[in-house]
Amino acid sequence: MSTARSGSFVLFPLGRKRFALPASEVSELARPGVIHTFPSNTLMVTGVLLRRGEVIPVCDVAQVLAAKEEPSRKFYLIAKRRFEKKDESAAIPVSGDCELTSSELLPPTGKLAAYVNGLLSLEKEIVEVIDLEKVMSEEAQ
Amino acid sequence: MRLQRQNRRKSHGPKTQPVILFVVGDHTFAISASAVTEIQSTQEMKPIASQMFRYGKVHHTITRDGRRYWVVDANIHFAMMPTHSSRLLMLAESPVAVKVDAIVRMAEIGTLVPLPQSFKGDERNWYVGLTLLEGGVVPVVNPASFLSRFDMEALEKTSPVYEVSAAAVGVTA
Repeated sequence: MSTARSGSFVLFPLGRKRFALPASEVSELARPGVIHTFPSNTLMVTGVLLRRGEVIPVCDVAQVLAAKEEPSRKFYLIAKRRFEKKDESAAIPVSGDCELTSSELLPPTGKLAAYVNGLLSLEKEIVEVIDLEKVMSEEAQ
Repeated sequence: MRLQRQNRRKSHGPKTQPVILFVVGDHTFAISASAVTEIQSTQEMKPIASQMFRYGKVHHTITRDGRRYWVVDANIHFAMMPTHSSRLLMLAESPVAVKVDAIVRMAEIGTLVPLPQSFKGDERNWYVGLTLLEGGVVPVVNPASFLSRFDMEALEKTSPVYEVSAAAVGVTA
């Protein structure tokens, strides 16, 4: 019995590592823009971007995925977040260019963080496929 | 029937509402103009003797027309660093005055954008939504968030009525 599933993924760099999200959850890679901030106390949500008249919250997952490195945030990956009422776009700051790849999603093995949904075994690296909701949840912090 | 209803809706045109823009620290906020009865300076504020209030965001009162208002420090309410406050927004629906740095101006705002669901903290109570103004995003504050009824009752218990000035009581008598 095989537990691997094939699919398309978007690879994005954060510091020295790359992570992946299912391509179905990503809509675009955006250039850096002005972050509009206002007082709030939701961890990792650092402000909002205005894109084509839409207000998009900035979810800085680097605080969990690469906190020690303090990586640069060059672009925004616009991803879909799932909520009870409706889905919502979120801007995820990433350190560089992203890449679309097709690969088998292998089940997580060993001691991996709770937000790791699976692994991609690529030519030169093993990439963690993350569950955005788990990263953003309090448990992951 | 349904068509008629749609047409009626269309004829109303875009809805706008007047707001007061104010600043606290580096941030600009908006509050519905109908939620504010007047704007005062901070000079007539009186310190509260008892500081039992759990959040410590009320340090002063101000009396207007014999009515005592609890002065909420906007810096503390929004968990911001202290700044120099010079104005009080006297709220219409509750005996609350909000201490802010300055009033910017009045403005007309259009659609109120709901706060994105990614925001899950106290800001869900602080704001009724966001508005887009001159290329920026301005949160529109929820006047009811500054002090709850429970908070006001707690303040009433810890701050006796004699703090209202005799002169002000004389006006209403």
